[in-house]
Amino acid sequence: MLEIENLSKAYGPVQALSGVSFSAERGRVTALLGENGAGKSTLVKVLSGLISPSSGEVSLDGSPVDLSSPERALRSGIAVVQQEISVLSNLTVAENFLLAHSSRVLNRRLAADWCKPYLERLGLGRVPANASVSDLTIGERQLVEIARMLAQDAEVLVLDEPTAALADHDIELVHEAVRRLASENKVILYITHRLNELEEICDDVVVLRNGQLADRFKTQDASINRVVHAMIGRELEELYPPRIEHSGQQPEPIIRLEDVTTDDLILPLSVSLRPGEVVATCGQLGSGLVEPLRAISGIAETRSGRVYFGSANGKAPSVVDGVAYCSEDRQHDGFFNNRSVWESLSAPALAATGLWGFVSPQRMRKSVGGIADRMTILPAYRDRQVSALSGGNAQKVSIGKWLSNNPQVLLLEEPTRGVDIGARAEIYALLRSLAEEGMAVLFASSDLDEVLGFGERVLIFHGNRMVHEAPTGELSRDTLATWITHGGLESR
Amino acid sequence: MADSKADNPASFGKGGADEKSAERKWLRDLAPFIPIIALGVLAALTIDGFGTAPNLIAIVQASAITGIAAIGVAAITICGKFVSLSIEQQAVTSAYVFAALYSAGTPVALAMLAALLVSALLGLIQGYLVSRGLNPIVTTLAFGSALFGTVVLLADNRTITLNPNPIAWLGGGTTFGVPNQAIIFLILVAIGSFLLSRTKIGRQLVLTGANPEAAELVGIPTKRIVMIAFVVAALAAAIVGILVVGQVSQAKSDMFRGLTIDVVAAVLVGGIAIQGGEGQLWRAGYGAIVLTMLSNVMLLLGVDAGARELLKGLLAGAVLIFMTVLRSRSR
Repeated sequence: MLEIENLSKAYGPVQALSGVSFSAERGRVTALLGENGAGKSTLVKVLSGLISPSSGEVSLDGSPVDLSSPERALRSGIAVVQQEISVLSNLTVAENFLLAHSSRVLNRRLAADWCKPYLERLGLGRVPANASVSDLTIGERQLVEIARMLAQDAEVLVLDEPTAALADHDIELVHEAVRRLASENKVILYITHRLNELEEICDDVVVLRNGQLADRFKTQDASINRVVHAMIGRELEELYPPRIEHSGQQPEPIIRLEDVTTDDLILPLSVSLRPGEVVATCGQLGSGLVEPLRAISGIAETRSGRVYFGSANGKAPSVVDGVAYCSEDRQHDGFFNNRSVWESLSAPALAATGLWGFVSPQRMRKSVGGIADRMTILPAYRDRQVSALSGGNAQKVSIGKWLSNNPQVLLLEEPTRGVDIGARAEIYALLRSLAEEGMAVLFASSDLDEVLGFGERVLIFHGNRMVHEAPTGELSRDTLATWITHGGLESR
Repeated sequence: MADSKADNPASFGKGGADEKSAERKWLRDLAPFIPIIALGVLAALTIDGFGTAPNLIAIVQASAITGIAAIGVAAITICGKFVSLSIEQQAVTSAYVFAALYSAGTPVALAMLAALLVSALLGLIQGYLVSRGLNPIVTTLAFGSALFGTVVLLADNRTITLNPNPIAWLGGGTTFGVPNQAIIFLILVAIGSFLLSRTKIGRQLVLTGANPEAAELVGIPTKRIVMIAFVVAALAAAIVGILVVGQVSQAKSDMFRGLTIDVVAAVLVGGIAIQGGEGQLWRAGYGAIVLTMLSNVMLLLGVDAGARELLKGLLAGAVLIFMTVLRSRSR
């Protein structure tokens, strides 16, 4: 049994964890939930030995654990599988295993024999040890990572959102492996943003909020309401805002793709986007679902076909025309991390006015006040650096910055990835109201619930082509899942 | 990763916590001033004549050359391209261009203009290469070396002496007792600071340094910005070249030996973040003053050359480490 007692961690004035105590039993999967900023990541970092807590203790089966460095943590039996997959893709599976054991001499045949049983334990028996990791699916890579931890005799496995980036099929693989590990009497701490995973694999639930233990219960006593209430500290009326009925005459499309192909879109694609519409593209990672967005924004070059903007001529659209694009990696290119929030929010408007002339910083700051209000970014945050914000607020900055430019088309990749449930609801509500004002919203998402709950129409991608297009009202979750995993409805 | 940061203002513990983080920002902003205050007080107390007006003015004048070049380089640093290592060679080039043209009978103003234009062109070429993805350090190092070789070849490694010197007043003269070089330095610092914080191009320069990918996506012409930054640095180097010709009445190949490293040290000591996207232009000029004051003090104390270089390097290193530590603490 893993016991966490009175754990606290302060970063300067910020109390990331304060007096958190709970225990996770062997043979059970304990879910760890919480909004961004609730303290989950801090807890994980403490358990993995990356940071030392300000106070508190962690013990395994009654004896205290040494968490002073990642190496020591692992040696005492606590293995953390990070959110970012850390297996090296240009090596083989066996070589990745050897990396973990630096003392071993590199001998491929021995390594293969050595890692085989661990792979089998996770249901990866069919993967040859000499397979290159780059040939595996992301889910399989995730499992290789876990198997590597098992090889180090881990007794406690901390899985930090292992399924966040996975498609349905791979999620099932990971779930099976987790169940198997639980049956081997390991302690499993499972961090997730997907609430439906609770029922599927978790036995106990621990919820953190604002660095404190908010609630803990058994899964059978859980209801979505209880979970959400514990997470955000209030009732959530609805995650997805109600649809707008498009009545009367349909407006002219604002964006039209005609027979467009790109490097990652092999079949010519023709779709159009009307003002006021919220359209989703859905598919697994790498299925080409982001290609329409990138073709419209000009991030990806079109190899053939054309993108039409507005009703008129075949001019390629650009930022200046009001096409706003947010990539799936907001940390990389969504905002200016070390500058104040208002500077990110005003950046597109500043860029649109050209290079020459004077500006007043005070006026720029004031001019985005309305946007910050609308994005529900608290005034206290507006002069703070973006790097100090949580995932949800950072995403609001990433999307909100475009409003300073009054875009007509909003292109969003994975708009709520890594965003907690409270902020998600706010982002959906905002996007909906933008659509009501006539903006066309096109978002790419691998989250089926988001696609069905928020999209009005969905373009389904599989194997670098669009395989189906339908109003979301006509699709069930299962049908959509079948489409994106098989590219058709005739199941095997 | 973002998780570790509190989302809820409540968890900041209200007021007091904000004061604390404000205090930290205040500390970081003022960190670069600690050495100059310490040094100044120490020197004024222990060295006779240090605190007098003439000596202080002399320090500002002596720092003008490094300072002007440093505020130019600061533009490169802030836009995220680290530093230029060809400052000294560019200054030599414009010194030669000016001196050679004037000696050949070109009017003063025209010769100056030509020196500035040649330098701007050289900056543009380097900026173009760097904006296309070449590493700025390596590019400017190689470019500077090639440029220096070319200039020495063309000038046959001669010293060009100006007789009479038409701009002696500019390089060596004073206005109301204040050296003209120092006045030009201060004017350029003021203009530069204004441009950086209150013009569109200045703010876009900062954003480009803060996150080039995001800047590109929001429509900032990052490549042009980088080129402009290199032109600004080149123009600053050209001004330095012309001023020193005015001061010493000649152009020769080794007239700026060691300038580049002084400039880089000034940028660092002033507290401009080397990774870009942060910092004000005046800091570079300020860094130059600190370094000059340090040299001045050590000269007065009779410290020898080797120890002076060592201390200069240590100071730059210390400020860099101090800023890095403060940054990681505030995470």
